[in-house]
Amino acid sequence: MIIPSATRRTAIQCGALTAFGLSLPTLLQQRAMARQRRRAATAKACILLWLDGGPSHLEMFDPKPDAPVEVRGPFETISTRIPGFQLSELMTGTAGVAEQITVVRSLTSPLGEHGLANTYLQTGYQPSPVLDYPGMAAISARFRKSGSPLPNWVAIPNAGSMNSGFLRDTVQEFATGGDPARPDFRVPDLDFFPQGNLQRLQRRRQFLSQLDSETPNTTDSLFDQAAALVTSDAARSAFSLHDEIPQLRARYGPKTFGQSCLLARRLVERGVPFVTVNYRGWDTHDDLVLRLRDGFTGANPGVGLIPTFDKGFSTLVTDLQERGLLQETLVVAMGEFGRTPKINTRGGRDHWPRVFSAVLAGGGVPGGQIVGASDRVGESPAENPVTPADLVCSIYSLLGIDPRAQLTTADGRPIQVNRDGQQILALTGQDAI
Amino acid sequence: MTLLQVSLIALCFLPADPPDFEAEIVPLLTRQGCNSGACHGAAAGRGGLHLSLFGASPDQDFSALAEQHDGRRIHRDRPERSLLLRKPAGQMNHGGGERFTADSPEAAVLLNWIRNGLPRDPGYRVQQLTLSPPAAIVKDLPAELSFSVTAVSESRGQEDVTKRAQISTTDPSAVRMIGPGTLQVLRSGQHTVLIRYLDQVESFRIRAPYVDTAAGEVRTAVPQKAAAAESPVDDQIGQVLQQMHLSPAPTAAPAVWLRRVTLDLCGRLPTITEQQRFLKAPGDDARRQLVDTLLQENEFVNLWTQRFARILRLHSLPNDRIALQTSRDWLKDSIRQDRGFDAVMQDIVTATGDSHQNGAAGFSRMVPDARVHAELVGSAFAGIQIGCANCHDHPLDRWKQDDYHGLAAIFARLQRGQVVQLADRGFVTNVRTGDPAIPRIPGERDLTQSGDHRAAVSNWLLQAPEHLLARNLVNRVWAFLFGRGLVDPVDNLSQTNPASHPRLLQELAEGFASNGYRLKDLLRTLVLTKTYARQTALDSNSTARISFYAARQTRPLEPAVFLNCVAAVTGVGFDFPQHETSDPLEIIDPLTPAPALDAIGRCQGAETCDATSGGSADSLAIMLHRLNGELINSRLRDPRGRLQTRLREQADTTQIVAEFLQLALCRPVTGSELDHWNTQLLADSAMERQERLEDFVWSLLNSRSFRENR
Repeated sequence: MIIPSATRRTAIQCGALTAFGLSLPTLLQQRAMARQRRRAATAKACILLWLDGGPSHLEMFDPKPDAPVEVRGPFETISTRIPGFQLSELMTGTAGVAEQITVVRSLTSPLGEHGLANTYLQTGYQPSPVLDYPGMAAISARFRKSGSPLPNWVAIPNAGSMNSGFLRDTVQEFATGGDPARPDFRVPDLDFFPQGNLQRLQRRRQFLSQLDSETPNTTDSLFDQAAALVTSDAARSAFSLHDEIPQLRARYGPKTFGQSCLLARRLVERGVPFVTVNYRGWDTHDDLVLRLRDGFTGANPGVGLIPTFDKGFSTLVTDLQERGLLQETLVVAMGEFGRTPKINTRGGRDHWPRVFSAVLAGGGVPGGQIVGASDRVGESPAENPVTPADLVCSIYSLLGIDPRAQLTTADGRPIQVNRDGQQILALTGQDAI
Repeated sequence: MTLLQVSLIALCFLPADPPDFEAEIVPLLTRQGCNSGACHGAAAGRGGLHLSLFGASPDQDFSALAEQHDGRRIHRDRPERSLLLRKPAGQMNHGGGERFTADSPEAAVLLNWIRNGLPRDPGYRVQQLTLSPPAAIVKDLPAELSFSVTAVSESRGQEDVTKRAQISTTDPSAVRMIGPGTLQVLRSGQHTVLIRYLDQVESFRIRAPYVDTAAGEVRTAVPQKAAAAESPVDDQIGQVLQQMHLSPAPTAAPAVWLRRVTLDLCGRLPTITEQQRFLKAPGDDARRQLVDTLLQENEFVNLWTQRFARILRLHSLPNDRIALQTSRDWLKDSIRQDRGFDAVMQDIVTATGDSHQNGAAGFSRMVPDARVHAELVGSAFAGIQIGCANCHDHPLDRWKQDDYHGLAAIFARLQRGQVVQLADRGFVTNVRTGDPAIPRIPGERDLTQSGDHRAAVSNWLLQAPEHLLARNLVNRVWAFLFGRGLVDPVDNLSQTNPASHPRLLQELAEGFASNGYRLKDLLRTLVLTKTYARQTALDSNSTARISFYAARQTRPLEPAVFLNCVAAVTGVGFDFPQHETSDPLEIIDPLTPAPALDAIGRCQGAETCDATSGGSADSLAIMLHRLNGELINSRLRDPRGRLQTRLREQADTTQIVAEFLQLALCRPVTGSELDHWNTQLLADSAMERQERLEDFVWSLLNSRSFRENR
């Protein structure tokens, strides 16, 4: 067993606050300690692995081996090298990187509909009829630039469910398109048009602004971004998965998700500050065994959602660490809610936002931690409830973005980057602001 | 604080009459958030206590609070020791924290209720909630204003419930709550305050005029009172503009109007001949004639079929190509013949038969089951999101769980094979009761368990004064023409999402219904208004002016319309072999790839796309495709194309430039403009001239002036 570091031990105790019944003075003392060791943000980039549809906390990060079978579900539980840190048996790769990851088991939200919950988890704001809030990726793109022709926010392989909210005029994602798992994968349209050259590119730009001269602020920033990409070999090669050695590509797994994780690593390595990997299909209302483990009937080993995720995620963490990039790259994996504690009649689980999990790695987050806990059937938070606003607030801090910084909407309304959240001490090592 | 102190302080607030559970305790629980979805109102309750969401079921709540667990939540001998009081007052560990202090009026009401032996008024039903005043206009911000809420019930008559109702603002930066029924308005604009009392929800509208240049509005003279002959649209829009102290933008140039209306009605650009003919005499008569002509075109039929197919979720079925074609052709015929949409809806809702013969029947096959069928009927025909009432009564509207499952029950017996027919049996389970749902017209009445009630659904959608179908269609059509609905988003017509111009929506809906639900009539009425003819605001700080229709909003062309226009300007069409058509406006099936269309952001799933435009926002990926992909580049180089043809014909630069400008932007070209481009396109060699011209046309097709409908 590896002895946890002092920092980690303190953090674990914070997480286990109610369980050990710490008195208020102890809490204050710890807050003071936390204040002293307030960390500077180290993360330069964020990779958000978005598990769209609502991944089951019970089959992944918060198994309930002692619960009745209708809660426990079809899978066993395995231990990691961290005492008390258990995962589902489908998470063998992730178990191997337990020392690098932090699992938040007490996320809680009132929103159980995909669209609303997506908004809450990715923006930290509950949806409002009067304003579209920007997601974390858009906020990041607003504050953190790639410093090169590469986009500030890349989505792999397709655009996700979150747009830029009221920042849509200035911040857009770049969706790579295509399937990174295909042997002939390439990001389309990065090469010059036939007979294209720099001179013609500049001419098109010039003609464009002459034609749009009656429109104020006509600088077509999309054109400029496109032109910068097309004319930079270095930028275009960032998307070239074929430059990775085959052995490493194999470690990420043959599926779209794994190869998307690898592409994400290439991009953050080259300075892209925010990459979203969109992984759909987690709305598992039926047949958990088929959908979560097997992937197709009779598959052995299983190639379903969880083994695919496990391989891609754990390899990403290891690869980043081997390259010395983990400390400066925050990896977050989550979806919009968890799944119902009781298995339904179709062998699946339905939407459950009351308690669910998210996992973070790198970016200055101490590893080997479990933050908060759900109750014995995974129904409600039992310790340290954490709202999506808290999680988003903490992610901003980790990325060096002031959660209380102010943005302005088109109609002049001042909006905070994050309004409702508090820092999660165990993640940021910072005291509440 | 000791218990003695609690009770002493609480005593000071004791009201005269003992409060009834239904009329005072339940609203108090709502006000404090106790029965919200995030708390004890969740489907499984919280912390062992389950209350009905927003107090929808007082019986159940009374039992939960007073009887469950042998009444442990209430201490009848020593009321102040009741859990019901001590938990929310923060005197005991409470997951929801301290909701109110022990010396608050809330605590006093609860204590008084317990002391008096838990009085109830089980027959208490609020029939109506009225606000006085019903809406307000304020001046000189920040402004304070008050209103009162009156509830009418059989058992208690009329009473003021301002203090009991839950009053919330949708935008705290615009309206701040100061006290019960008292608000502070901080920002100019139109704001909504929601009032919830038991199962009733009302909205209170506040208009705060723009008084300075903050909204980009130079305050000018308040516009003249509308002339008598104006259309109801211009009249209503004008009245609100007056209230808001916004002056309308001038009327757009005739050429701009021509391009706008041709794109909106037919999804194409006016030809040069059409432009010349119209601009000779662009008066009212010419406009009316032009609209009549456009409404007869094939393009009109294709564009609006495509739009309605999207609303009705038409898509291909596995191993069955004929059903989609049959339904599409049926819809197309209906639009071509301008059949009343009441009949169209009625046919779709009530159809049975072979979906290869009867196009109306195929629509029932676009949904997998009765619940989704109910949701589709709700959204496509009434613009409501009744699916929210699946697990609980709709938190933001009047729909109950029984309404949702009852509507679904009406479609439960439908068999959705090639032959759509009613089976002898079939039911959906009402998740509230666990029993088969009783067929029900939402918000109205239960129906018998047997029989085909689909005709009753159709009647419900048509009946006055609600005009569910008419309101929804008018709103959706408005959104196609103005960029967003009078109620926005268009699939969320609910009590908590009121229209920006409620009277206008109501009048338009009534007019549409009494005119036989004719789409063409409605379009004609709208595009011939002054509001439709205004100039477009192009700067980014005109949000306020646009939202009140003082100026028009610029709108990106729908993906299919963009392709159609690219084809018209370049002279090189498209081909969609998988859709068996070359016309982008004829593409219906979102599940079959249409590469040229998909590459520029056509909606393929429903989630991430705008309901009205049918496309995603412009993006770097789409920009790269337009820049480097074949979509535009190949059409510039195509030997059959307009540009290469003109080059072969040795047309001079002025002629080529003028033709392309006029085709793409649909306005007269000035001499100085031509001089400018002549200079820009001057070249030493034929090769370079060709490249410069290609770059010119490329830029034209990528300019905002071309890609937008203004």
